[in-house]
Parts: sequence; C-alpha cells; structure tokens
Amino acid sequence: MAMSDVFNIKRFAGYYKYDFKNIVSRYGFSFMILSCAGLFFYMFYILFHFLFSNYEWQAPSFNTRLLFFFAMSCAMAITFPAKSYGFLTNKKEGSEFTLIPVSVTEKFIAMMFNSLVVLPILFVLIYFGCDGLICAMDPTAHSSLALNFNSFFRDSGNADFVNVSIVRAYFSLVNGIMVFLLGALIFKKRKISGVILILMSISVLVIILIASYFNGTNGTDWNINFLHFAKTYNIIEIIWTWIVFFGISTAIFFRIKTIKH
Amino acid sequence: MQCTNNLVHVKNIWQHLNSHTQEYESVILFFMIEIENLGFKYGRLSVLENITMKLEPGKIYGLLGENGVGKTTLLTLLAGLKKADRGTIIIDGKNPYKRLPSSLRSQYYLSEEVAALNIRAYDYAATVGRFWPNFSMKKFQELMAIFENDSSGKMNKMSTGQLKKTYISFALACGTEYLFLDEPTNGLDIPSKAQFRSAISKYTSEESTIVISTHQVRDLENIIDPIIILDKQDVLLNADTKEISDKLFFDYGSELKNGALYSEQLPGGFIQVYPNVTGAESKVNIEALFNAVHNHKDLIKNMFSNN
Repeated sequence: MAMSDVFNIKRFAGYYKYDFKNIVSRYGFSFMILSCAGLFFYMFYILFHFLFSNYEWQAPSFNTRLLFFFAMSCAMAITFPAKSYGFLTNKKEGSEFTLIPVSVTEKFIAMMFNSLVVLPILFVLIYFGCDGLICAMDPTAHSSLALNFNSFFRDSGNADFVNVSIVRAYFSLVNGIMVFLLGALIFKKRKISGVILILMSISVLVIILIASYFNGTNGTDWNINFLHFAKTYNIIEIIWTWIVFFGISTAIFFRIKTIKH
Repeated sequence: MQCTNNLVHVKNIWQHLNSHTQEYESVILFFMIEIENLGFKYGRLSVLENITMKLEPGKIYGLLGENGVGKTTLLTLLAGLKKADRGTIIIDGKNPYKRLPSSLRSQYYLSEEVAALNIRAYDYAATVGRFWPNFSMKKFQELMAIFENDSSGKMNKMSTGQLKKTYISFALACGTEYLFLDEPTNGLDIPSKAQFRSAISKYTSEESTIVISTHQVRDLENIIDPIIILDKQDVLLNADTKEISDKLFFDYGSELKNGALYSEQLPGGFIQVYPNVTGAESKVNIEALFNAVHNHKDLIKNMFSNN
C-alpha cells in the first residue's frame, strides 16, 4: 500500500476542516447551550435564591458551580458522540462518509482529535470564560473555576490517598467520550441508552463479582482499610485508563474501517 | 515530398505501437472492473452467487433485474460499501473494500436514497467536491442549471426530485472514472429524465465506466449499452446492443407469429422477440428483451455464452 493511501498531510488538513464543519452543523447549537449552561444556571440560581431567601442576592458557591460543571461535562460526553458521529450507521449519510476519498487513518485521527482534544478544550474554555465573566461581574460568586480548578484538585489529592489531578479528570472525560463514541458507531438506534445500559450491566456484574468474593472470605476481609491500597489503586487506575483508551481507540478505528452499508 | 514525410510519420507510429503493444494492452486492461465468482449473503439468504463478469471502460452498463436479485448489493460491493463473502472484485487492480483514497477518488456511488443535509447545495459541492481531484464546480453549476435546480437552496428543503438532481449533478461533476448509479431516474419528473440522459452523455468522459441500475428501462433505453441482466444468483446476459441485435430479432409488426421467445401486444401491433436466424437488423427493445430473457433463461444464456 502506498504511503499516500495511508496518510497525506494536505488531504488530512482538508478533511479535518470538513469534519469540524460537520460537527459544528450537527452539534454546534447543543454544544453552545452546554458550554454556556453555567450562565443559565447562575441566572436561575440567582432568581430562585432571590425569590425564596428574603430577596437576598447570592451567586452559587464555587463547589456548586464545580458540581454543575461536572454535570455539564458528563452531558457533553454523553450527547456529543451520538449527535456528531452517530450518522455513520445511517445508510444514506454513513455511505457518504465511508466513500469520501480519504484514508481510514485520516478519518480516525480527525475524529479522535476533534472529539478528544478540540471539543473538550473548547468546552472548558467557553464554560470557564462564562464563569469568569460571572465572577468578574458578581462579587458574591467569589473565586472563578478557571483560577481555582487546579488548586481544588491539588488540595483534594494526597500522597496517601487516591490521587486526583486535572490530567486524570481530563482522561476520565476523554474515556467517557470514547465509550459513547464507540456506542454511537456501533448501535443503529438507542446510541446513548444502549451504552448506559451496557455500562450499568458491567457495573452490576462487577458488584456481584466483588460481593461474591467477599462472601467467600466469610466476612473477615470486610474490616480492610482500603486506604492502605491507595497507591496500588492509583497505579492500577492509570494502567486501566490507558488500557481503556487504547482498547476503545482500536475498536473505533476498526469500526470505521469495516463499517458496511 | 509531403507524401514521403507522411509515410515516414505513419511508419514511426506503427513501429511505436508495435513496440509498446503489451504496454498499451496492460493499460487498457488496467482500467477495468473484474468480478470473479462473487458471492454475497445477507445472513443465511444468498443474494449473489458465482457472479463473474468484466466491465470495460468507455461503456454505460445498464444493470437490470427483478426486485431482490441483488442489483443494489452488486453496486454497493463495487463501491466498497460491502465486503464480498466469496470471490473477488478488482477495480484498477485494487479491491474496492479496502477503501483506499486512490480507489475512492476514481469512483462515485450514488445510492437510490440520498441524504437531505442541512446545507446549501453549493456549499455541499464546494466542501465535499474537493476530495475528488477532477471535481469541477463549474460543471456542477452547469449541471444544476441544466436540471433547473437552485444551488443556493438548502438540501433539506428540497423535494425528492430536486435533491436527486443535486446529487446527480455532484456525481457527474466529480469526473470520476467509475460511476455507479442506483436508480438515478427514480423521483425525477419527465423533463428531468431527458435532461439526465443528455447530462450523462455530455458530462462523462469517454474512458468512464458507468453502471446504472434501473427498473425504468424506457428512461435510459437510448444511453445504456451494454446491458446486464441479473437473475437470482446468476448473470443471464451481459452483452452490448450490437451483439443482442445480432442474435435476437425484435419484430415490431402487426402480425403475431409462432416461435417467438416473447410477444406482447402494443397499440397498433406487437413486439415479438425471435432468435435472429436471418441476420436482419432490428432495434433492441429492452423491456421485451428483459421479458424474453426471463422466459428463456437457459436458452439466452447459452446463446450469449462466449464459449
């Protein structure tokens, strides 16, 4: 196979632009709603707080806003893949995607770069930008997410405890997007609920397995201090994150390569 | 003096051709679709079995067959949208299912049902067309004008016919060597069908291989040649109209005769198909041919078998 049939930078650049435009037209509106959701949340919070707390003006606290940011990140991770790339399983639109004269590698890289780098970064930038605006205009909001996000994770983390970092939070988001992206490329219908159902089934299975293990130990291990295993857990978690990342990436690549219409 | 120069020139060309015969032959064979013992199943349902044929450049193949014989399946296999269960398809020496950019940019597949995208036709052509090296925006605009279609209109606001015409314009503007069209005239109004015929003739290159699957044989009667008739798991006929009219006689007379492979009463007479034993010339009627082939499958297969 000629190299030009695998990767060509000029062709990739053209395709990347096309892919990004496609995402904007399919998911742009929803994306903007989710990215600016912090503003809407702030307005609703102020309104309800004002009405039900003796007309007192109070912005949502840092933790509340952070929690809402995580909720919106989850919503983005869940909805983005199905709306942006779910069309691939559609006979009409999927055929067109498959037959565009661009290599599978280029289609895969463009898809991954947009889904895992560009969209999350844009989302965080817009969300934090809106939050920064709120904090600049309303002193009751105190510290902005952008300025305190890192320190929040740093303070939460502890060498003896489960390690939490921005990088880890990013990879959690990325892996979440990837799981739903794979679901969007596999399921013809119920792209989101199908994935959620599978994840729930896996969770139930894991819980049953763990429970049956502890049942087998006659309850003696129930007094284990799990924090003793924090360091081991951290290592296993990092390895697991990378296994999931490469495993799902490979699955997505082969799904694009072998999709039939 | 002039005459001597011409003779020398002709001699040079002749020598050049002789020394490069093999090279030219390989080039000619290279731009070809070769299907060998092709088999395809949907689950347990076998649709295509042992299909073998060669499609040559510079021809507009009419792919005919009853519902469910696998015309669309064959086109999607040619386009690389499906993987053959058995046998091979080789286009320009490559397997289309590998979906290599070098293969994909030499072909365009227009499905029967097309996507109504939320984008203006002009923008769609400008954005997607760039991936085909021979795509011409000028051609696209000309074709849209021929079809009396507005390229500034949004595709999801177009009627079925307008949308189909947009995609046909795009397909022809891509300037590909291979064009696979699945029921292209479905949904087109009467003037558009005539416009389609003239567009196919005018906007495709002489080296292009075009395969058109259709049930609307009257719409395309004058442009398709050769004709391929597919049957359940078999190719009943793959011949050009010259060969067909050499072997079959199409009688448009008013008298019903015995021994016809197919006969049908028309207003003012009959159309009858006979084996052409006298070598008389006649105009091929594709509908009558199709019915004659279906009534006498083995006979026609043997008649057109190259062995």
